[in-house]
Amino acid sequence: MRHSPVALIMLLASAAVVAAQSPGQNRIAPAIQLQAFAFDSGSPGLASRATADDVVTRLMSFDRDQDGKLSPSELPERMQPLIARGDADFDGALDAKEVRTIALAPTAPVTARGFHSGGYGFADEAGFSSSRSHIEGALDDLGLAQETRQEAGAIAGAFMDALEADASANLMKDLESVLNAAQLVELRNALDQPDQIRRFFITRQENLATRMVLRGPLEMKIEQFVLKNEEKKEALAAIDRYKARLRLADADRAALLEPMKTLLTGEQRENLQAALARRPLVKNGAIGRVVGGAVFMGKVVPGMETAQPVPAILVR
Amino acid sequence: MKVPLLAWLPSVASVLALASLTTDWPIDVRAQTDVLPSTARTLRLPEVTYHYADLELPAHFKRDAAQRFDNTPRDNPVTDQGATLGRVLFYDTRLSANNTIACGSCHVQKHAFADPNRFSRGFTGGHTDRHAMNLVNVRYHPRARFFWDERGHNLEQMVLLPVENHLEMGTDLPQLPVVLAREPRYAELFRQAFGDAEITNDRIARSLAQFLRSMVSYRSKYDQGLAGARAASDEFSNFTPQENRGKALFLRNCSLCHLPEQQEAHFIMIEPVNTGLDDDTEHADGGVGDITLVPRDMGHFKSPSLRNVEVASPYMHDGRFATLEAVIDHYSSGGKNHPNKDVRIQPLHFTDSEKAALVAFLKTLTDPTFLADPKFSDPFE
Repeated sequence: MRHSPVALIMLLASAAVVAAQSPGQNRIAPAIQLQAFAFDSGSPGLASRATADDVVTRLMSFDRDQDGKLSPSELPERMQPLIARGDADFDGALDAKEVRTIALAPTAPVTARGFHSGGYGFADEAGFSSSRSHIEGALDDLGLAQETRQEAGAIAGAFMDALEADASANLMKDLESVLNAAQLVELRNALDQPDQIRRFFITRQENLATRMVLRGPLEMKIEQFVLKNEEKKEALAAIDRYKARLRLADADRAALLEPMKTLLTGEQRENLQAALARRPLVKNGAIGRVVGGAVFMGKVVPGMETAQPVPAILVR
Repeated sequence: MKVPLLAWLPSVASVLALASLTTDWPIDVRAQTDVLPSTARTLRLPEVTYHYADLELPAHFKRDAAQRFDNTPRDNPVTDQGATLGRVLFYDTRLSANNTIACGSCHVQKHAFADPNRFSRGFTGGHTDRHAMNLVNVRYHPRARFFWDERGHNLEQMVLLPVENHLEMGTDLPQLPVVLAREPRYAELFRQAFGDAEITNDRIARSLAQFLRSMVSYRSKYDQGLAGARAASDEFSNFTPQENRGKALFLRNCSLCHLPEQQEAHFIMIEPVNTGLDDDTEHADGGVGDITLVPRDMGHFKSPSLRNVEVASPYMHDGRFATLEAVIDHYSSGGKNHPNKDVRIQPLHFTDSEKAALVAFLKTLTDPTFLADPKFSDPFE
């Protein structure tokens, strides 16, 4: 089965919460369902989207005489060692079954010592980048004169203030029917914290597969509250809507650029619009090792945590 | 000599497999790299051996984050004598079965040791189906996997594969030491490199690998700019505004893959990637997947260094893109929907001025000193 090329991992993993419990707070559930973060990569070691069927179809396309077997003369020289590797019946050729056996054989990903495979995802989903920082970066890249840069920054700041206020108001309204008054205050406080950096939790599953789960302070609060499953689900959905609202849509970009009409040239606005439409990517520098940050645009983002130095295997 | 445009297919049974390596695609013959056989020329080496070991690298190469990219094995460090021998072997046509092709025939110094042709011509005139990739800073590929499909597991193993390939150089490896022994100067070169005059394929491979590892490009405009800045993200005083803008765009949109792991020296990719060049999983080159048959590897290709990329055209494993602009257009579009396309390959929708700035920045990675350094040049005159 083919998957969407941009499909990302969303899984439910059972995880133990390791956050500290503050005095007076609601009890922390010992084991909860967490939504895994959508890190994905075509890199070795991570989930595959092409299948063994694709491999068999590809290889058998070399069967020029259509006899169901791949002889050495039918394969490019660089692929001829495959025959020695997979020729189970010692007939000097590979058939589809033997190709499939190779394709399905478990393989360890190739990694260089000290380097880690994959772990790429969108920075905004990982909590390493907000729309505010995205706009600031895009403005920086334009190479504007200092005064123009300051004016553009002021416009962007006011725009984001309004967007965040709107998204926050909608979130609190959505949660009114789910949380009690004390919980709403706690969540409001979490919402107002400038540091929205997420934290890692890694849980070891059966068969040694290890899955990474990222949580932000808002979800952390919801997990800490004692809620019915439906309430928790509704609250987490409201947080997802809040985060989605903070990502710039086409209309948001247009609204941001409108007051910059007289400030920026047409080419600068075109470049800014293009830059804002790109979603920044990030490599999770914490997979497989304990480090103090993640790499984002060549800079270390502090505040990451890993539970233990184990490789993360993400499943689709 | 006129070069046939159609690939010549050897008739002997042992090389019938080469048919699948030839191609009907147009072949660019704008700069064929004919050289006279080494046997018809004179080997000229400097009286004082060139300096290949212990290079005086800039600070950004010496930082821990950059040094850990070095794939030099403990048992084969670069020595001046070993790399000198490797240089001679690299340009010696005796490494091909009919004394017509040397490594340097396809890996041309002024083209960053890439082939300016889309496909390379083998010893009998047949053409490969992949582009001969550049050899810039191969020392700094930490996985030490080589070729577009990473089938070479280290440089020492990799260097002999084209030599014995039936299309490329066609040499019977057991005979190679015998052939080289007929050149009297090799005895002294091997003695200087390895302590005695014995010629073996292992020594040939080790000296070639040393020469390749000595090919370090570190004197580009980018390197000069970085030396005067705190970090790559700073404005470089030696850059034009367009180059600085291109650098900012590169760091924001390309560096996650091409300047990875918190270092500022190595413009290489750690792992092979499927960049969405093709969406046909059946007939398009499977790259790493064709070697491993692992489904997740299908359509993955290794990427060479971006240093000197300006002169290393054409681009991609099959040389399908003739210009840097075409490469950037590919990434700007987001590529095709191969099931293994990497999540990092997203439509970037670069504007025209952004594309021009990116190209301007990429050209700052050109290192004229490296491209003309006599210690990497053909020693046969």
